[in-house]
Amino acid sequence: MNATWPQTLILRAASLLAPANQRALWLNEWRTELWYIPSRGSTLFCLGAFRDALWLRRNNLCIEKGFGIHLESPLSCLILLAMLAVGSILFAVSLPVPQNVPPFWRLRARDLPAGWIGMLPVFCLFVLATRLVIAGRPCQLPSGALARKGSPRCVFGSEDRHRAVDHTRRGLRSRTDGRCARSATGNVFVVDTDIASSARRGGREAPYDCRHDRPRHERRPRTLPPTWHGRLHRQAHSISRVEQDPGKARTCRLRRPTRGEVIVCCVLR
Amino acid sequence: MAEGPRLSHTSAMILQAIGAGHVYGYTVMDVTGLPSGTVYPALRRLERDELIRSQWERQSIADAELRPARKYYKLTRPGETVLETSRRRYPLLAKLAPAQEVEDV
Repeated sequence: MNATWPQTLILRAASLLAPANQRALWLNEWRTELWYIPSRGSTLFCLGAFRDALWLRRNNLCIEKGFGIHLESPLSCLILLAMLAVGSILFAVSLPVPQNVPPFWRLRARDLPAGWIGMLPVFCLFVLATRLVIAGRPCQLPSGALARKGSPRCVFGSEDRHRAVDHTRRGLRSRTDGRCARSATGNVFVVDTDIASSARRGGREAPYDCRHDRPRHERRPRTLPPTWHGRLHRQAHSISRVEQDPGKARTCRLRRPTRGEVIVCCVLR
Repeated sequence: MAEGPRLSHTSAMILQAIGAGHVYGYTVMDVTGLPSGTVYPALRRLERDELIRSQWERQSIADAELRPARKYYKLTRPGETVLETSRRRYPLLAKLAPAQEVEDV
């Protein structure tokens, strides 16, 4: 069936729950499925997208940078705690002094619920603020070597750093027309691809399926862990955070990898 | 005796449906009678646990039939093992989804 506006709207709304780096791919998947659904049950079908998107969000191990503070060192944790302590003290000092409150040793059990109810909004605000500040779970790096690497940048253009692998599949060429290369260290995959025009307009994400990015005469890279190699061809990856440095057209930022994820780096051409 | 991970009945149903050749999300829904909000997260979970693997249909096939390419699922080898274990655990599972011919995808 062709999606009508209510279904499209539902899917769009549900896609907001999906992690940003997988949203385009997720939406595409649901739209594709919707095409096959008989119109009678399509709305009910689309409502299931909310649960799926929530599942994806809960199980997305990657921090989406750009919003919130990322506590990646003990120092940043201490600074955050100190700031919270100072804020709490200021908040407490600024509160008006209560009138006619008995001293604490004369408080009784029936006085407590009123205090709890009073603290509930503060607690909710605190939880919300904490959620926003922490902004996700820490990434789990797939290899120690990569974790130690620490460099957030990957420089293109040097043939001795990585070997380009041209793929010649017609279907792929029509969609991405890109190149997939592997770094000399074997643990960084670099995807140099044309991003869809919709992504260029201001979107920061584009679906990219590494499974199809397999050259005909592929050789198993020696340095790539076998689990990574398997997952590269099984799992779909999406390029997110297309960040271009205007002064350095061949430099881009790498996302920190999550468990089982291949680092993907892209450059707009 | 070492056995694979124990699946919930829902997951086992979905695995059985895929094993029987119902390889698309919607057909799994249709066969199992489960809602989309259950089936699709379960498919992702099974894929994460490497019991199934997904792949997009070849674009050329979809183009020839003037429809969008869809994602299909297949059992992995561990998935087959777990399905066998689940069939022993849930004896009626085999009656759930009759085998069907897997389309050329």
